[in-house]
Amino acid sequence: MPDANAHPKKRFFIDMFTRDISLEECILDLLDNSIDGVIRSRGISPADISQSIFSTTRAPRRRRLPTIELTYSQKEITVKDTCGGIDYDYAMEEAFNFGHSPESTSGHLGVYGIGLKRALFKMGNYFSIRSQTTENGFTCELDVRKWVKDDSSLDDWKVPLERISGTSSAQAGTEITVTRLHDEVKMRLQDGLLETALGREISVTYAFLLEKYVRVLVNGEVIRPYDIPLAVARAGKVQYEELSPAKGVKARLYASIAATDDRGRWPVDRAGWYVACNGRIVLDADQSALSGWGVPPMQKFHPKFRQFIGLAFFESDDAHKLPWTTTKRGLNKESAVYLRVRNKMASISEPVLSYLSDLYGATRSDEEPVDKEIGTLIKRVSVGSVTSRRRTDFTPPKRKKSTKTSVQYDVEKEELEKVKKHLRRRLSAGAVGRHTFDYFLEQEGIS
Amino acid sequence: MRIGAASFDKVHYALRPAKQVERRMFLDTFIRLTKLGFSISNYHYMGMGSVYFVDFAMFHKHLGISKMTSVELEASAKKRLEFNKPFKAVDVRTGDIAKYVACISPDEKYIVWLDYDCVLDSDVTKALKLALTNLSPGSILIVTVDAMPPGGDGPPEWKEHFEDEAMPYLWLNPKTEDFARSKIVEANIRILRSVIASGLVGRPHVDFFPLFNIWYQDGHEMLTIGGMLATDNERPKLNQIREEQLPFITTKLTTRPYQIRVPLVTRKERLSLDSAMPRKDKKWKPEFRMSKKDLDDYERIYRYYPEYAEMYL
Repeated sequence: MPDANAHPKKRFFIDMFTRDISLEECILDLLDNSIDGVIRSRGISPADISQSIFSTTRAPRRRRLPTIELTYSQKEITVKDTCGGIDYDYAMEEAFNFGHSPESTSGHLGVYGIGLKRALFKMGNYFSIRSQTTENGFTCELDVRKWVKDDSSLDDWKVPLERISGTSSAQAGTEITVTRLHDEVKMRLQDGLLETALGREISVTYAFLLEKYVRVLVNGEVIRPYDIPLAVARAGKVQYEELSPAKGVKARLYASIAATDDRGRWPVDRAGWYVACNGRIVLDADQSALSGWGVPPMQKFHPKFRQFIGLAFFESDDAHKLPWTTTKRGLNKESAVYLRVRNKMASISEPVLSYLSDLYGATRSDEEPVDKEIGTLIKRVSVGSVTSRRRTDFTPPKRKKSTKTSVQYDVEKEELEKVKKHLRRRLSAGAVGRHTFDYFLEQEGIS
Repeated sequence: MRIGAASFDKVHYALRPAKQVERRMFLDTFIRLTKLGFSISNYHYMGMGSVYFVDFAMFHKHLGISKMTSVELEASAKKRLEFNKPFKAVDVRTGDIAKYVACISPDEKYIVWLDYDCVLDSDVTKALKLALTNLSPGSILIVTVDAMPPGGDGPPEWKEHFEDEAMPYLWLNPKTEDFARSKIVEANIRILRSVIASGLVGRPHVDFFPLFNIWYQDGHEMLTIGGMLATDNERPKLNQIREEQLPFITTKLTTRPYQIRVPLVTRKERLSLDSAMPRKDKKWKPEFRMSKKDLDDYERIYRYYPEYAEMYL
């Protein structure tokens, strides 16, 4: 029987798989790649990373951290790291494959074997890579437009590498430069908002890795790790649960109260669920159905929950088992691991949400709840300091009952105008209500 | 959210004969389960004891359960509840039971009876789902709801109620006919079944082994669904419950629940009926007039039939 041709076409590949990814995500993919280098070259396991998150003692500050320097201009994007480099043989066999071969072990952060390639193709038409480990190294240059043209057989799916010698361990690393940037990428890079946005993304995504395992600089500025604003209500305890949703996968869940920011407030955008896979945050301050909001039994997110913080940590030596998506910014809803954990996330949230609901009473969803005495009821803690707690009751403190209630009713605008005119004062509708109410109290002699 | 009178202001619990029959059926079941190897006396009972604590008294006295938590919605009733609790061992809590169910310890076995007096709403589904997420295998979970039509004049409004309160658990394209007067119980069962399935997502080795699917009418129509969270450890033991000849045990949650009907008989009639129970000869007839249906119903519940008498103290 003759076989129909089912060969992939380069053009199709490049167009399709770069379509649904943003520039920020591409840059994070490149950083993932570098961080995997650190993990590989220093033999760090996901358990070590968890250990560093959950230990109560502060990790000793390392003097020389591997660094990743990201710089960009209208001409080029460069990522240069001292993270250990990519081995020549690994590059020959794996690094440029689309996907990993079955026998290879994927990285801890680079899971799908697609991020680096996708990022390069997304950003520009020409890239060069130079990487050196302590043993060996390689260089590679690729003119993407030319490469795409040669596409008659699978033999054309090759990327030429040149072997070079190794270097000292302090120098070992990779430098990737992308030039001939695509127009839309140039436009994004021109946008003054990108740098700040990117800085925040990096700070949050690697909140548990920055300044512990690696240092990241964006255009020369060191990115500080984001501090997840976790606090404990003095009246309650952090809700904590540990489970194993699949063989070789560990999940740790926390739910508690948020700490205030520097100005003593709780910005709504910091509240919600934070989800990390092998120490990399894939979902931050999520207030959507993805982390269960509005999916029964959890309520929809409401501004009164801006003091809610949930943390879910997934950890596995086999990164494929973790519930991340290929862009690593979100959770795979169909992942069995995630499905097993989702109801538990809702469950440990419940005491905290009901605590917050009790504090605020019934608040209409369209009004901003006023911060109440909650500020005096919490103390800020680190994730590490709460690990050993078992979940217990989350009893709200007794609060004074408000002596006030609100009176609301609708009136015809015409009538309201009449009253205003009669009073000969420019009053708001609320003030008119107050005034007429006071008038009644006075006239009836019951004030 | 429910608004309205606390249920203990509506009716004296002890004076609802069908409800009392139901409680005694549970008691009988728990005694059988003990026989089958479940150490029910070590279970933690979490219920909604109201101010009467009838179930607490029964389970403490007859089963020896001594870890007990009663949860009541009305926080303002706390003092009254504390005053009325029959044993020191009862821990009285107020607020939505959901938050207590969410804190259930995975190391303990529980009997949780979500004994609502209202129609099914989002609070019911929430607490039920959380219980299914958290209860350890071997625990028993029971939910009771008012199975009368919810507020509103007819099926379109009733449908709206269930859409507002239990939308994610409804079937595809619910029709107004699905909420006809005669279909309300069925609709409740279908929703509760769907909550149960959804609560167990993520627990691949645990399933819900039904024991109770009971419907009765005393004043209000009430529906109870209950069962055990079972793994391979519990299932073989549980299967033997079928051989216990308990007529009300239902191991399938069909839309036709077991009905408790308590025929009205006088004290004298009762003594005469009891002396012939259980009937060996199905043709046996009492000396007074009684329909065959009443007689059959009586035979099914006489062991659980409460006796009420007025006492002058």
